[in-house]
Amino acid sequence: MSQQLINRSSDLKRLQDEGYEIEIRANHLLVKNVPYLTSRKEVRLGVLVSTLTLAGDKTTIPDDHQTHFQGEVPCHEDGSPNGKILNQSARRTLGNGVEIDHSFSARPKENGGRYLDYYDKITTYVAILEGPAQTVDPSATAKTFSVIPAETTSIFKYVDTASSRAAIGAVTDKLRTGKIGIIGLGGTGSYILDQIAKTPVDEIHLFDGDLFLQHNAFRSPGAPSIDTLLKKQNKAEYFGEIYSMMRNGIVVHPYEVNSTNLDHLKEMTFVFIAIDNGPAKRTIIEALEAWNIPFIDVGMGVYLAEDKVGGILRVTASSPAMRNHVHEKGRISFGAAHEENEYNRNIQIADLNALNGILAVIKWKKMMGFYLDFENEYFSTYTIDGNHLNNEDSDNEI
Amino acid sequence: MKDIEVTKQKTRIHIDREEFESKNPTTGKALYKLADIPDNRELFKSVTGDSEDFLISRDDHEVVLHEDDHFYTQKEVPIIVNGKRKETVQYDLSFDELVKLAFENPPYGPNTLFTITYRNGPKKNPEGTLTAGHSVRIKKGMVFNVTATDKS
Repeated sequence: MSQQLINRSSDLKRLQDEGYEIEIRANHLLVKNVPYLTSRKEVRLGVLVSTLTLAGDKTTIPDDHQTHFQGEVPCHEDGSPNGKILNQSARRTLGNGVEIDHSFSARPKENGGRYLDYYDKITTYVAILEGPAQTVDPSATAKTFSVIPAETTSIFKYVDTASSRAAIGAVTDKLRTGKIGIIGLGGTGSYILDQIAKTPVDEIHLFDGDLFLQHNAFRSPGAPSIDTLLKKQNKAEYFGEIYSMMRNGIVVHPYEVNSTNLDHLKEMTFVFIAIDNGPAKRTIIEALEAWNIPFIDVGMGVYLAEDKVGGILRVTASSPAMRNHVHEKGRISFGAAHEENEYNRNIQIADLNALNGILAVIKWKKMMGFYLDFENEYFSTYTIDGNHLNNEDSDNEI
Repeated sequence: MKDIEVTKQKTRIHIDREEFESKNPTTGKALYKLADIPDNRELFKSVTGDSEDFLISRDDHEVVLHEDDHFYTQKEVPIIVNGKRKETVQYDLSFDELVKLAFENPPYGPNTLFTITYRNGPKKNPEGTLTAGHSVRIKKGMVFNVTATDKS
């Protein structure tokens, strides 16, 4: 409830986005960890409490210029009590565990003695309390940027303040797109997960039958310890555990996708394919095409030329509107692993895995209407030796 | 009334794979000048088929041009394939020829499909990706990458 009210009220939202630790409790607005100076000239943290005037489901102009305070008597720089704002001192409870020790009164000179909104009111009182504290500790601030836990029904375990601070919440909502499958959590797949996990998709399904081993640590996000590597966890389980610390809705499928278990993909709204096994890829893609599920397939080819590394990163997208390029133009290789020879060594490097994964995620966001996309390419390559992006197979003509 | 100038007929030709417009007929000397060919180089006309390419001398003898004639001072041009310098005498290279240039023994399974990207190409195809069954026009210094892009 509390967060919804904050999201709908621009003044409360601004306080939260600027880092103030606010909470709605007992129908009051609480601002926690506000620094002030005691009579002993020590910096302490108190709680500023204000009544809330609501109109429907959001705040309106505060009808009261007073606030309450939980803490000691706030003092000036010299340790004398701040009589200018101190109204009365008596411990009382406002309900639901909200205890107060003092009441303050600081009436604005302008605007008929009223505050414009709660942002105006709170920042005025915080400045009065913080000022003397900052003479002792210049770093003292009520902008704590503490972690804001999310509502129990939320996708994330804590609020996505990055989107709210940037005021792109409405655009970000376009990414609430149901169930995303990531097939293969090797180098590139793990970086795709790293990005998708931070978007508000409802569920992320991780498919991989391999173990997370020492060499994988150098081609995936994060920094696992030796003890972690010794566990030899399945890749889907390993990554599922990590990303479940941040968000809900991660579903682990610790097996390789093949013709016997394809049905698990049927309920996906979008699938990322990041595996090396060509024949398995063909099986998966045929099924996704039959079920009208859009997908992105990624892959890289990296070679050693003398003593330098070169190659191509590829992102191939396919949706019900655009399927043929995959087959007619050979935009995905279905070669088997045993078709390798000395030229086809499996060179992969973390930054290339990350870039390939991120190019795929950016394309997915374009397909979801999040990013501008005038090219509408369904095939793109990044060539290392020329820092060169190519876009092909546009559906602009369709 | 101004006199209308009669322009000489211009013909498009290629010297070292660069496009030029030349008066037609022209002279050997004029062709050397047109492409700014240094003193230590000789100009040849490409002849298709088995006959020898023939030397254009740097003098006043007449040369009759045909649209899209090719001349060169250097038959082989350097290109780069997968980071390595290669030479080619061809004006066009096909998808399969580029795979062979990239790999002496192509890592070919029947289902392996290559991604080919190129840049620094001539006006006709300055940059892009090449798909099986197609060719691109070649220019000196063109850069190709040929890989199966199947690793993740």
